[in-house]
Parts: sequence; C-alpha cells; structure tokens
Amino acid sequence: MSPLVLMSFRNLSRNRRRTLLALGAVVVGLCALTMIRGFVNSVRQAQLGATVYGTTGMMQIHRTGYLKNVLSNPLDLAFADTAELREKILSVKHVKALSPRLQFSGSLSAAEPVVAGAEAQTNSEPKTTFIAANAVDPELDRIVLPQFYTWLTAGKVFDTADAPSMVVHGDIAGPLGVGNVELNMSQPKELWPVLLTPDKDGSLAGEAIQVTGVIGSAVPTDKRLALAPLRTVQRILKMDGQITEYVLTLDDVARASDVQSDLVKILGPDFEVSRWDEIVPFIQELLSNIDFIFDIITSVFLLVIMLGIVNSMFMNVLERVREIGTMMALGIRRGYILALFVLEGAFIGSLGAFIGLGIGIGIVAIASKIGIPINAPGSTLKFMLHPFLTVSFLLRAFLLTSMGAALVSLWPAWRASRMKPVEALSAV
Amino acid sequence: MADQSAVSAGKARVGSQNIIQIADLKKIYQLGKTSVEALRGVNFSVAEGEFTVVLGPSGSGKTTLLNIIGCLDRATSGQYLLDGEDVSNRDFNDLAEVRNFKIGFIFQNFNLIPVLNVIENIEFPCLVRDKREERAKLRERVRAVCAEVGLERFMTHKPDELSGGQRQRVAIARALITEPRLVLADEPTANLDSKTSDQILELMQRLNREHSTTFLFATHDPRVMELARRTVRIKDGLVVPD
Ligand SMILES: Nc1ncnc2c1ncn2[C@@H]1O[C@H](COP(=O)(O)OP(=O)(O)OP(=O)(O)O)[C@@H](O)[C@H]1O
Ligand SMILES: [Mg+2]
Repeated sequence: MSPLVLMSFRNLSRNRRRTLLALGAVVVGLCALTMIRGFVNSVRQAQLGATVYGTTGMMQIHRTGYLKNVLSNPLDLAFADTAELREKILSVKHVKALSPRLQFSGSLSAAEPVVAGAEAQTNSEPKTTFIAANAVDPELDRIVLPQFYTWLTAGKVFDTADAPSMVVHGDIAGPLGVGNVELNMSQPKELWPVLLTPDKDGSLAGEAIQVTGVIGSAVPTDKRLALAPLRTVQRILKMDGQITEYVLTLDDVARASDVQSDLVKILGPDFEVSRWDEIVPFIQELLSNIDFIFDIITSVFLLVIMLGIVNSMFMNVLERVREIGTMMALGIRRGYILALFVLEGAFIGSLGAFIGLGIGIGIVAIASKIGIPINAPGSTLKFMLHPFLTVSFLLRAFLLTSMGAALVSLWPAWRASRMKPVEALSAV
Repeated sequence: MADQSAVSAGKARVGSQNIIQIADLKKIYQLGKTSVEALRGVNFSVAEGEFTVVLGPSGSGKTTLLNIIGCLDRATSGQYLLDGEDVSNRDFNDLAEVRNFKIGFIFQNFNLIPVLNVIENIEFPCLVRDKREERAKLRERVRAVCAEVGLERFMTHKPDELSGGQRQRVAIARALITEPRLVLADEPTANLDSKTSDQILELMQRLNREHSTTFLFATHDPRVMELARRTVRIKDGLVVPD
C-alpha cells in the first residue's frame, strides 16, 4: 500500500515534538541496552576465558571416579600417559591440543637459615605452607591454558618439564619468604625451599626446588595454587610416565558436548570426560545469572519503550479522529486504517532502534578500544574488559523493537479502525 | 431492479432511474434516557443527474439524512435504496466499497488529508482500492479534474497552503475522481465568503451539467435555493411538501 506507507511516514513529522519524544525514548533505551550488552558480553567473555583458557581448560579427562576422590588420594587414580592415548584423544574432531597433568598436594618449606655471613636472611623458625599443585609440561600446558601464563606477576615459568623449579601463588610466596624471585634465583641450592609430598604409598618424598615465578589470579582461585614441572614431580613421586589428567582445548568451546560424547565412546568406561561447566558449575551458573539479569533489564527497557510508543500512538489517533472519519467516508477499509497506524508505530520503532543501536555500537567500539579496567572480587590482577557486540544481538534488538512497536501499535490502531464513520467525522 | 417500483410506489419520477429512494425513513438518537427523533419518516427520491438542494433550518435533520444516504450511518427504520440497492445490512467494508465507488463527499470543513498534497488528496480514493488503475492513467485523470476545477497551478501544494475556496475545489475534485453516481455536499459553502461560495456553487452546477453527476446539496442558506433546479425542504425531521 504505497499511499499508506507514504502517509505513515509523513505523519511522523506532523507532531514533531511528540514523534521526537517517542523516538528519543527508543533511541536512549536501545543505546543503553547496547552499551550494557557490550559490557556484559565482555564480562562474560573474560570470565569464560579465564576459566577455559586459564583454569580448567575446556575439557578434562580423568580415570573414572577421580573427581569424586580428588580430595582423598588422587594419586591412586593416576594413569599412564602414553603416545597411543594422546593420539586417540587428539584424533577426536574439534580437539585442538592436550596437556598432561599430575595433580598433587604437599608442602613447601623455607630452608633453614644457614650461617652465611651478614646478609643471611635471619628467619628464626622454618616456614611451611601447604600447596595444591599441578605438575605440567610447560610447552603443552601453555597451548591449552595460555591465559594462565599471563597471570605471572613476577619471574618466569620453568621452560622444561624436568626443570628444578616451580611457580607459586603470590599469597604463598610472601609468607614463605620467596616473593623476590631474583633473589631466589641467585641463591645456592642449600637455601632453596624444600618440596615435600606424600607419594602413592604415603611416604614423604622431598627435594629442594627453586621458586622462579609468582602467579596472581584474575578469578577467585585456591591461594595454595602452585605449578611444578611434570617430569621433576614424577621423579620425586616415583611415578614416571604417570599423570592424573589430560586438560584439553577445543577449536570451539560450543562443541564441548559433542566432543565429550565422542571421547567417552573412544576411551571406554575406564575414563571420565568432564566439560569445563561440569568441573566448575558455579561459573556456568554465574554466567547464566548474568544473562538472566540482562534479560530482565532488557524486558524492563522494552516495556517502557513500548509504553512510550503506545502512548504516542494513542495521542496520534485521538488527534486524527476526523481524518479517520474522512478516510472512512472516502471508502478506506478497516484493515487499511489499522495498517496506517501500525506502520507509523513500526516506523518509530525501527527508526529509533536503528539510531539507538548505531550510537550504542559507536560507544561500545570506543570503550572496546580504550578498555575498561576492573578488579574482579577475589582476584589479585587487574582485568581489562573489551566490550563487544554480536550481530545476532543487534539483529534481535532491531527486530524485537520494530516488531514490538508495530505490535503494540495494533492497540491504538485497532481503536482507530473500529470508529464509527459519523462519529469520527463529527469530532472536532 | 425489478421490484424497485414497488418500493418507491408513488414517489418514482417518470422516465428516469432513481439514484436515491427513501420511504418512511426514521432516525432516533438515544441520549441516555431521552431520545431525539432527528428524522420522523422522510419520503423522497432523487433521479439520476439531478441537482437537488435539501433546505432546512439548523437542527432540522439535513446532516442526519445525508449521513444515511452516504452510507455513513444507518437509519433506525424505514427504507433506503441507493441506486436500486438496499445497503442497510452490509458490513463496514462492503459499505466502504459502496462509498468508494458510488458516492463522492464534499464537507463543510473540506476534510482534506493534511499530509498529502493536492494531487495525492485527489487520487487518494482511487489508491485505497483493491484493484488500482495504472499510475500514469490515474495521474492523467487527476490532472484533467484539476484543470476542470481550476487547480492546475496548485497541484503540489499542501492543503494548509491553500485558501478555503481552493481547498473546497480540491475536495470537489476528490469527490469526482471516482466518477461517482452521487455527490453529497453537506453545507459546502458554510465556511466560505459569499463570493467564493457563489464560485463553488457555480462550479458544482457546471460539473452537474457536464458530467450529469447527481448532486445532493444540504444547506440552511435560502440564497442557494435560487440556483437549484429542485429543492427539498425539510423541517423538524420531515419533508415539507412544496
Ligand atoms: N449524534 C447525535 N446524537 C444525538 N442527537 C443528535 C446527534 N446528531 C444530531 N442530533 C440531533 O438531531 C437533530 C438533527 O441534527 P442534524 O445535525 O441532522 O441537523 P442539521 O439540519 O444538519 O443542522 P445544521 O444545519 O445545524 O447542521 C438535532 O436536533 C440534533 O441535536
Ligand atoms: Mg448539519
């Protein structure tokens, strides 16, 4: 109906102030929504990234029963890290890389101060701290958990799996007196702290080890976290070639479920395969909560926007009663009157959405370039958030607003189309 | 219509088809508990090609009568045949089609659509039809009608850029573009000065002669009477015999 489209469009400029107000509400609302979405996206991505690229990986493979028994005696459920097993896992579609790990616990004790001249650290009593450590092959682990390695606050991570050194969390390093990694590295072996860990049989094994790096955390993590070289730890524990888990990264985190079932098929009942969201369900819950809150905010915004449009459209209808009567006298059908006002509402909705989203995109782009620094609760590192938007969000926001506007305009439009010609014509 | 003479017994005018046939038409407005009897049994008919003036004082029921004739309102009782057809039981959209194809309206306050220019206002009734004629052909007809009513120089003006007389010319052109069987004009000159009124009246009469379109013209201005070939006097909701 080209004359209707033309009229609806021209009617927009008829009461400019009202149109601008309704349009303004849509623009401001959608702009705000876009900004919030951009920010929420970045928080989500940061949280998800810190989890799957820095903490749990996307997937983990253990011996069956491991996760249930992890607190009692994890070493009992170790298994052989063989080339065949690795190949088997890597042959599964979407699996990009794996990192073998040996999870163990133990304690780290500062060395007894030896009499070593004036500059000797005068520790009156030896200090000991418990650690929950992962023994890893740094070359493989860096590929699977790249973000973890960016959280190093001092020093460096050991380069090889048989290095005599380890990395500990900042909260351990300080009290233990090993916070200054440069000093650590310059010290003779006698002054290195000692790593003590119970082996499979329960007898303590120990070895002096150098602390070459201090790690921070960008997400709430266990403060007892430590990272040690895989082969060194295997040697200490007399568990050559044994690991407790493989940590996997996929080419697409969304494929986790498919990969999981493929792996279960290939590996059989001896192994259990867990997705990241099964390992840390609270993170997934947190993300869902963020989405839920955003959905509520969106609904409230849209509701207010739609109320604004309905109100504006009702005023439009009331102002044009005689014109509606005239059109009826000229033989316009009810459906056309309906279409006339619905189109008008849809114009306001889609035009407002277009402008609002446009401005929102601009602001999000700038914020993304600059970055928003935040301090996550329980973290020791600053996080830089880079807001971003997805095409699907923009598309949905646009369609929802323009179609919603058309839909709510049905109400005033319907009232207009139900008017009686004589009554409408005699309106002042 | 075979049975048409039966309905319009006695009132049918010999030798011509009746566009309007009304018998014992009543209209009662209900206002809460009180009711106003605006038409109290009107009988009259209008033949094709006539220029009829409905003359009556304010409140006599002219507008009520024209609204019913124009299918904008329904009578409370009585019979009304438009072009031989009883339209009293049609629904809104059917009546809209009847109005669109058969009736042209000229209003006291012009009732142009303010967002449309002169051309668009005139072609509007043709554009809301299901089957629209070719754009170029329609534009050609609009141009011709504009020329007839003397609006050639104002075709792209918006209504608010026109004088009252010019606006009424647009309304007349809009009423004629559909080539209706009947044009209803309810006090079309009431908002115009006397000179402009005369021009508009003259124009309508000329169009009546040249196109033999039937005009029904309601007014309370006895001056207009002189111009009319036929006058129907109405008073207190009843036709007053000549
Ligand atoms: N919608 C309505 N509700 C109630 N009464 C009405 C309504 N419309 C008209 N009337 C009454 O019907 C009677 C006829 O009114 P109508 O408008 O037809 O007169 P008219 O001849 O057109 O008068 P005018 O010359 O002032 O336009 C009047 O008494 C009027 O008060
Ligand atoms: Mg009147």
